[in-house]
Amino acid sequence: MGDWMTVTDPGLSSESKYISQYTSETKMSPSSLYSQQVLCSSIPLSKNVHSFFSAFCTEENIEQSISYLDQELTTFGFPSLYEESKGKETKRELNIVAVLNCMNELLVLQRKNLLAQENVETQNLKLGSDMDHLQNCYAKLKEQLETSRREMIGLQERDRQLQCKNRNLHQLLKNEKDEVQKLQNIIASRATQYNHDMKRKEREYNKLKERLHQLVMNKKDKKIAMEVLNYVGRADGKRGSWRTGKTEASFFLRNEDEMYKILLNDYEYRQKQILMENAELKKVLQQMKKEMISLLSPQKQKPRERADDSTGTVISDIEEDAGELSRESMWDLSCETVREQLTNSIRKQWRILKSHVEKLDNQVSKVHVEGFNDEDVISRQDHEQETEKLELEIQQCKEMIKTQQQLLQQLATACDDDTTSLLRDCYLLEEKERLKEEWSLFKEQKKNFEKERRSFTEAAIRLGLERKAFEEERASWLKQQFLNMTTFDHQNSENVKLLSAFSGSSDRDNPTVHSRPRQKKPHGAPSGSPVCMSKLTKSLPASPSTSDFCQTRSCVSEHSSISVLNTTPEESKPNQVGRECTNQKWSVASRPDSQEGGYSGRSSTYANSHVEKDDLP
Amino acid sequence: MNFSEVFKLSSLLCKFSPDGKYLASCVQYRLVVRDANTLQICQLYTCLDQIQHVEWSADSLFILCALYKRGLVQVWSLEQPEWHCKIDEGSAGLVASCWSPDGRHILNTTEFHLRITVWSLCTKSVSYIKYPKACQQGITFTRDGRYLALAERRDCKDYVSILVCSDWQLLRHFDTDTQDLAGIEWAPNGCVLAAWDSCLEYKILLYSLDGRLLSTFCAYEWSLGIKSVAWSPSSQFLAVGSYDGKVRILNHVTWKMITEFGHPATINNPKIVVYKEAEKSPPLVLGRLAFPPPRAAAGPLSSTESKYEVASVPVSLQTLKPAPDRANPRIGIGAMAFSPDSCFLATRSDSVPTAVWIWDIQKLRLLAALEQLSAVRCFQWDPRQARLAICTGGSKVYLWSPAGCVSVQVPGEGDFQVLSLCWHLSGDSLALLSKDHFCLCFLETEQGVGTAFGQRGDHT
Repeated sequence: MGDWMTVTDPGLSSESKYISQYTSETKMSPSSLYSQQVLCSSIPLSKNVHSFFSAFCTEENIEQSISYLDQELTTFGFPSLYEESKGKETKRELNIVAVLNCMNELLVLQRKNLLAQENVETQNLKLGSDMDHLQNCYAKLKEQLETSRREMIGLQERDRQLQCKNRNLHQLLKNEKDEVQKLQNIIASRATQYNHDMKRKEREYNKLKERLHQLVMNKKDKKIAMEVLNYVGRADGKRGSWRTGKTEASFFLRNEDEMYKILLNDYEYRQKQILMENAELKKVLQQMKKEMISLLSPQKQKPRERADDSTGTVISDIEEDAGELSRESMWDLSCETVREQLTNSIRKQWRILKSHVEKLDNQVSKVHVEGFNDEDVISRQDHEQETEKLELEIQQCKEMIKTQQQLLQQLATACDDDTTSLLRDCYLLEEKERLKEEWSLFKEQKKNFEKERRSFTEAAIRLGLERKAFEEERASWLKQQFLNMTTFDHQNSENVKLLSAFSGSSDRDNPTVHSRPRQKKPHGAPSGSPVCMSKLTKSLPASPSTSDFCQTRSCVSEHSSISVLNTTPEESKPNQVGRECTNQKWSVASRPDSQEGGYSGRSSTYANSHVEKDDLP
Repeated sequence: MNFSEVFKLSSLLCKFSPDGKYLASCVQYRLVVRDANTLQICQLYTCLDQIQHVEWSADSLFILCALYKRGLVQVWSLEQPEWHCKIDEGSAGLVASCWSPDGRHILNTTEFHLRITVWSLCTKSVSYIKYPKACQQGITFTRDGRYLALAERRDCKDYVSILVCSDWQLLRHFDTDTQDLAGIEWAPNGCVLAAWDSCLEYKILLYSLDGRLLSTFCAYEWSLGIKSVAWSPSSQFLAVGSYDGKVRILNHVTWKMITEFGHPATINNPKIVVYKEAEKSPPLVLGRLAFPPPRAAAGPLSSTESKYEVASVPVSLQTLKPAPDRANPRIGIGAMAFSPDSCFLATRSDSVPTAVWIWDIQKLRLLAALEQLSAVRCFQWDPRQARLAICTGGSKVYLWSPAGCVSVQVPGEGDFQVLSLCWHLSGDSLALLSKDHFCLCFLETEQGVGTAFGQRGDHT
């Protein structure tokens, strides 16, 4: 159409354009009118619409456009673009600030609008998609509804049909029942009819028979006859006799008698048979009973212990019964008297047996269950074989034990001495073991003792040396003192010597002891040397005595250790404890001052002497 | 096993004498009496017409020949060949004739069961018994021959009369609680009488000799009832075969049922031995045909041989579908027989006509079943031991014993179709009867027979 239009008249097309412009713009502004005028009058057609619109404001219509804008803006609630004029006549001035503000506001508004539009658009999109989704859902649900409705209708239809059928079947059943009833009635009536007819017919038949009989028999039929060459004798040799009125009664009685005799014979025969059977059964019963008793009696100890009183009493009953019933005479009594007893006892025994068997069954089942619990089920046969094997083994072991016991007894009786020695050996072995332990203990102790002894001997040697030194010292000291009496100057140097000699023996062991006398000696020596002298001289006999004691002690220890070594285990045994005790006392006594103790003791004695020395002044 | 020559026979009338010495057979109107061992003819009697019934007297001295068409009975003496006796029932007619147990009286039943005439051979006396009932088994004598029980019908009710055979006096007369009495049978000890109703109702009544009702037994209602009844020789058991295909065994103390033997078409129990007769065509072996021609080929060619095979369970037996719209349907236990020692019971179910079932009475279970190729016609126990002879109308006779089963081909030209058989009382020989011939089968004693007649065949 557009093409066609362009082809036709350009004026016409412009007209149409104009119209379209008009329709779109007519309400918007009066300027459009103007522009249209312009368009119509001056502006060439080549100018496009857009460019034309951009030229809303031209040089010519500034005023108009401003006023128009002002109008528009004021209608929209913006402040006027013009300055407030005092007088109406005066031409209103365009307020640029207001214009700018307006523009800014417009721009802000525009931006806001754009934003709002965007939001709205996105919301619209969202809503549109939501709408679509909902519509889809709706369609689906509608479909479902439709299908379910259809289904429901189908089911209802089927239900209706079935109900219909059911009704029909009910009707048919009813009809059939009626039919059956009818037929039964018919059958019953027919049966009665038939029976009736039968009877009637039979009666007729009987009548006819009677009639025939009369006719046939009364005819005096010549033909009915028997031709016999000569009569034969009876099989039993008797002569046939005619029945007469008299004999008939007796015959009858005889026949009755015979019949009853036969019956009696039969009953007697049967009774005999029953008796025989009974006797056999009794025999079997007795045997069974005996076997039962013999079977149950070995177990009676166990059940008595295990089970409650009932079985016990029952068993005692059984025993009584057994006693009673084993008497043969009881068995010949009529069943009446024995029966109750017998049945009761049998029942009791049977109950016991049953319970026993049940118990066994339970055990077996338990075992089975256990067996089944295991993963691999052992078959019963295997189990039995295994138990058999084990039993055999047990038997063999028992036999072995028995034979061994026998052999032992034989040995005991045959060679007493050997056995006693053997036994003793047996015992000795045990003792040896113990002694060995003790021996090792002793060895250890001995080692300790030896160590101690060594230390003691060393100590003693040292003591000896010290004594010697001491003696020398004393001698020198005495000599010095002796000399001191003459010259006092000498004394100091001698004293130092003595001290050095003293320290030389003990400095490696005890520095404190070594230092003390050095420090103290110079103190005491000048103050109370004569007293100390005297003291020392007094104590001198004591010091060797202590060393002697030590020596003797070590000697004793030496001796004891030697004796321990020498004594044979057998002999030492009785004294052992005592000696051990002494040893221990010893060791307790000696150990705290094993090596150092000796010196410390000595040092203490020295210290004491020093203290005494200190106290003395 | 030896077979005698084939002799002529008519109407399957061939009977051993009760003492076992003689064998009577009928050929048209002639009665031939042979020695049972040598088969030589002892006597030959000629009757007036075709013989329809033959019966030995209990002492084996007389033979009764009934000619029902003529209404005549002719009696012959074995000791005195010239002696004869002829009884004419005249216009009354004759439908049945039998000896009384003493062997000196003959009981003739007239047509329409009008009466039973008792003719004495000792005196010229005649007795009549009125109102006998026309039924399956209306007359029964006790084993010892003292008493006769007779079913009667008067005023549409069933009665049983017990008569003393020595003088035909009525001993007891009582009515039975039956709709339509079908049969009566004495127990072998002669003290209990079993009476049963017709097939429309399952009911069996047991009466003492003195007429007391001992017990009644009814297994079920509303269905076809009893078809056959058999007493065990020891009188201990009463087997009742019925149309439901079961045998019920009653005991003689409480007259209650001990057990029930069903006759299922399939046998599943592996304990039961099932013998199946299998045909075997003569083997065509080249070597055999070549040289020399064997005896079997030269002799009478037996088209089909058969043997028994022990079938492995489960076995399904051939069953007949009974026609429901026909009277006397071929269902139910049609035949039963106790072995002489009462240990076994052989039965035949009519719906499984090819099978014979052998039950162990001591264990009260099925012992064996024999399935034949054709329907079983007749079976009879050896009177001396547990051995059952069976015939199926073919040319073979079958023997079963607890040890096993054997099928024997009857030799002879043409087909010898064994329709019936009867044992000699010693159990040594067996008479095999076909439509026109009979022969004896000797089971134990071969000497004598063999020399006298030559061995016709030896099938062992």
